[in-house]
Amino acid sequence: MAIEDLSTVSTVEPVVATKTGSGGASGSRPVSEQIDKDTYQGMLDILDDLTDHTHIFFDDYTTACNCNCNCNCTRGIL
Amino acid sequence: MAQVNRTTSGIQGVGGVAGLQSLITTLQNNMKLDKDITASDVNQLISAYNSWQDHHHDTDDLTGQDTFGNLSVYGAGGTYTGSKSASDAKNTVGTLFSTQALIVVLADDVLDSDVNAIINSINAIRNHLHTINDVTS
Repeated sequence: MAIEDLSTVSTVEPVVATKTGSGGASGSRPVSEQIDKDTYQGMLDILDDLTDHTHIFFDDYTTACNCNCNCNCTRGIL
Repeated sequence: MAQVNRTTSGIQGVGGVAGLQSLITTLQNNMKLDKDITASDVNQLISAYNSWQDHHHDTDDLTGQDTFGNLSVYGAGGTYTGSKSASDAKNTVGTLFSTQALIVVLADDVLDSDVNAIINSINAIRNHLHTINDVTS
């Protein structure tokens, strides 16, 4: 089973997360507010930061131990 | 089961990282011009998001490795699947969870619901996941 660790993904606090207003709940954008440049720029920044992200992949695999050794002496084969 | 940690490639399948980066840079530069944000700007942002959300990653997938003995089961270095090729990538690393392309804004007026859809979608991708088909034998 593969499990992903997203620790390498940049996290960017959205501009909207810090906003509160009469028209919206805490942490959300007020309904009546027009999109502003900070909000737009914040969204662009998130996309920008995530253009070069990677993930960590925990790669499971099977191991094999398989012996068929021959002893090169007069006492025979092991 | 034995396990090795590996880092995937960067994003693939978005028409090239350079192209996506170029579009984002263009939009960022537009904002520096102190112009009003128009429906066109919003649609270009939606286009950038839609390109981004269609990405995947490549990764190697080790299926088995010899650990001891003189008989080779998996060969030197083990046996891999899902090499870093475009054709394998979708099988090795799946598409994104719970994302849908945003619909381009048709009218000049950008509704609050349009903006909120973009905000929610872009915020969500900060914590996105991929499905990886981990072959183990």
